[in-house]
Amino acid sequence: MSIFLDALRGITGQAAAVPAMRALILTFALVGCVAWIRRRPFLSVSCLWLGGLVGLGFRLLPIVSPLGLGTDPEVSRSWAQAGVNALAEPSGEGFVWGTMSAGSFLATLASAGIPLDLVHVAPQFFVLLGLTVLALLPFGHFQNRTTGAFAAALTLSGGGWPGALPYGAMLRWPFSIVIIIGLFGLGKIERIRPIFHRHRLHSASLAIGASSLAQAFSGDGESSFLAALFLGVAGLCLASPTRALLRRTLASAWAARRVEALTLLCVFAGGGVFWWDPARTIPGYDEATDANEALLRPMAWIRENVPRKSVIVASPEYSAAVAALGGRRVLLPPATTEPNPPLPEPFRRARLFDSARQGRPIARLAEAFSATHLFLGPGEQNPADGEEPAPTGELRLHLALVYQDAKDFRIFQFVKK
Amino acid sequence: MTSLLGLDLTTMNVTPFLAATRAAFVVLTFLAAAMLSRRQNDRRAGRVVLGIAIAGHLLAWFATMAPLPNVYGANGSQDRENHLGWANVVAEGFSPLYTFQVNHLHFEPLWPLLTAAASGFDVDRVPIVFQWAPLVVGILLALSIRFVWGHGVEDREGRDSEAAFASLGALLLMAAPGDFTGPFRNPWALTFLLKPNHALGLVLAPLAALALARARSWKSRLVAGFVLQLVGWAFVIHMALFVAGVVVFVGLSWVTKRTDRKKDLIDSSTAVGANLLLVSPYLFMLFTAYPFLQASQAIRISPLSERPFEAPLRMGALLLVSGLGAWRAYQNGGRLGRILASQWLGAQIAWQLFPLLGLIGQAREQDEFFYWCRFWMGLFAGAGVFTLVRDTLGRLRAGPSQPPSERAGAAAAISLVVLLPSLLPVWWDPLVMDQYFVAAQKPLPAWIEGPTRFIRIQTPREAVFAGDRSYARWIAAYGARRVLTASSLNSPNDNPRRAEVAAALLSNGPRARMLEGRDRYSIQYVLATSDSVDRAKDMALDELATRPYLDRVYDQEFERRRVVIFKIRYEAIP
Repeated sequence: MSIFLDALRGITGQAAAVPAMRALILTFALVGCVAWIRRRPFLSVSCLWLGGLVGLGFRLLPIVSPLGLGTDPEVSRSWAQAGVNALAEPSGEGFVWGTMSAGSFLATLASAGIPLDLVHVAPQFFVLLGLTVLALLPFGHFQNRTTGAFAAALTLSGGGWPGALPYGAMLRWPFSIVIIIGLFGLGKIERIRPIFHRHRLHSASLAIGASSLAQAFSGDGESSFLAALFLGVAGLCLASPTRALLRRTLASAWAARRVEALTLLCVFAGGGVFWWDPARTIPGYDEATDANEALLRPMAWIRENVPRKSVIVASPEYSAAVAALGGRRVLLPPATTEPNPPLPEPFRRARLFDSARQGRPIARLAEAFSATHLFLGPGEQNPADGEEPAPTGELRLHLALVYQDAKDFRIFQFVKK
Repeated sequence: MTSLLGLDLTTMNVTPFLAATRAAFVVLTFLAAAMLSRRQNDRRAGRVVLGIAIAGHLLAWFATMAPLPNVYGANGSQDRENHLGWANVVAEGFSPLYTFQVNHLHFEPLWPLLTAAASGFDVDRVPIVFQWAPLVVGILLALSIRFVWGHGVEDREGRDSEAAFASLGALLLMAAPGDFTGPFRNPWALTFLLKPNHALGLVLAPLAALALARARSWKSRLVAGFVLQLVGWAFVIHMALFVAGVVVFVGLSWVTKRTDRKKDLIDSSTAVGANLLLVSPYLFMLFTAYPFLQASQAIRISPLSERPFEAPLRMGALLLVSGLGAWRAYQNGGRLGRILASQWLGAQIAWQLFPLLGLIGQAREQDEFFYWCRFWMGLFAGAGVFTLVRDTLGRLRAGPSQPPSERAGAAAAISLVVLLPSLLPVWWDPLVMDQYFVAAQKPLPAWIEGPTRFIRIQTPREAVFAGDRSYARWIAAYGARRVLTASSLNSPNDNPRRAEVAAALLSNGPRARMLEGRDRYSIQYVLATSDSVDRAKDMALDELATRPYLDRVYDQEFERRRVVIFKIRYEAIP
């Protein structure tokens, strides 16, 4: 399986693969349109869904590292908490020693016992699941299956407005899948459906207004999740009137089907995954396509050799990575331009960090913080060797080098002489 | 630090400012839609929609320009800095027929003249004019389309609203949110903000269509030719594309066997012929000054390229409604409607021809074709959505409940709401979508700012600079002086001669060549930098200082490079 995925990644990494991928998506879309004209609405939606799967898969497959780790402070904290929830003890506490757990969907998944490697691919998986749910969701809203299929084709393509695609936002905010599934459930409630149908034009207007406001406030190169969601709702509201209108306006049902098919083609190719380029729109995407093997090696060592209750002293640059990939708590929060949550005992932490970097960690503080190891990355200076700090009467520990690799990652264990 | 619009940037937080302008447009549009839904007649609805179009353009323009301490495009766009240079030298009193490469004929002379005139021929005011020009040209475009539609399309229910929606579409629907990830980036920003001179061509194109639609006699045909040549002076590619649309117009008349097809042919060929005659001096300048028909590897594209999809399909469903709008205009819009719809079709055909042109290395100016295509798509998408909604309301509400005259208001309200998520001011985020905005937020690098300030203050107005060709565009853009050659501009036809003169001045070459620098090109200064690209590689800057005829008047070491300016003393040439 791994070899197969690597081979696919090799293909998607080639420049010529992008037009080939688009040609394939367009082929699916064209087949879907022909199926629609030939009164095969389910086949049509299936083709568009497959086209979407190809387009999304093409962009999601190259992601081999947690998306946003090290590039987005909020997401980094979420990944760090997930790593600690999955592998460290005691569970339920923050990834920085002594802090509260930062609640996030990914962290919750990790707490639920899902293996960390699977949690790392959860956003990609949820995006593909989201595509599937969006293709199914409208069928729950419409009694007429063909209208349901029409709405499904519109919804999975972004609702009919160019650029209103939810998948980028879903990749950055995996919890959105819960909202979509919730919407799917709402569609099943018999009491809601008549209200929805009776006021569909007002609902559509409100949804469009809400979407526009959501996009206005969020900005960004990707459509915000709420903006895309509201436009999807508007698309659901307008699907049935649009079909009814086409039936009344055009000379025959066959002509109406052709116009519907053309609409689906334009919507899918304009608002769908056809043009989606997360490398340009999602910060951290390029970084996530790098497996960063050099960093993974010391992290794997930490997972295997550092006790689960241990705290690792690492500089703020490596804190999130140690927690997210190594699965151990850290002493200091990640470096960020945004304010971190309040940190208890900041001065004692700073003293322990400084003393560890000087090669003589203060024993009392190391024990208080459960700190057992010092992690150093490339470019970070080795602790001073053998130099005695000014006598303070405090018991000091020593550092023993337990891991070092060619990339200059080093791990020291705190030991008594 | 203050922006060029006079706002204090030290207290401005750009992200919430941009969000506020976007939200303001959403609220404004919803208020307009609410107002229109109260049984407004066509004329009032048209005014309100036109107001929304202008307000949207204004807000998007303000969002982009307000946080900039520099001219939009500074620090990042070669084109923009070329334009600044052109306008500067005209503002300094030199002929608009020449670029800032001394004695080099211009291919877009109208815009530098207009901007220099708008600045009152004051170089210090040129950047301000450049910041305001996109707003003015955008408003002119909206008014131009409104005027043309109102005067050329027969008077019928909803005409004013339709015209206003065409204006709205041309301004705010020409770009899609994802465009910035594509090779041609955002058409609105690159047309209005970066190249308002090209947008001026868009302002004039509908007027040319109106003039052609009204051509009845020889006199009116010549008038049409005259208006069309104005498009050429503004931007010659738009003129060529407009003529292509006219060919489609005549072709469709013959294909559909219209009774007036001969008249269409005579009117069009007379107008185009007159245009070619009138614009022939310009075409002469173009052919003599620019070797622009040479094939190039850089403008070859694969016949299997996805480019043909790029312009139409990124617009999604708007492609379909723009097609519908063009179709309805062709059917019901009279002669003007047929001409405008033919422009839509002509633009699509021209765009689809690129893979063929790419085969022979002639797929040049793709971006301009792309924007032209999008302009017509946006225009007809706006008109098409309104037509669709109005017709739908007509079918659904046929009866006494609502008089037809008041149906336009309701249709306009619904159309505004339906179009809202696609309108540019709702999603325009220049921090992410516009590299020129990001670049212009930063101050000019010291190695550009310092020497060009010296040039502007310490050198005479008529000074011409030789030397570093890469640096030349900054000499013109920020120093407001002319140069011998600039790598940012097309090479003049006498480029080999210029190269010989420059080489002679730098390397103490033949006396006759050096004196030619004074007599033929009026060169007074040499600017050289430590970047060795434009100098002989073995020639050090300090070696230049040993030349007896070069006086060092400026020498500064910056972080990235050293910049030295020499004054040439021709009397000291041995």
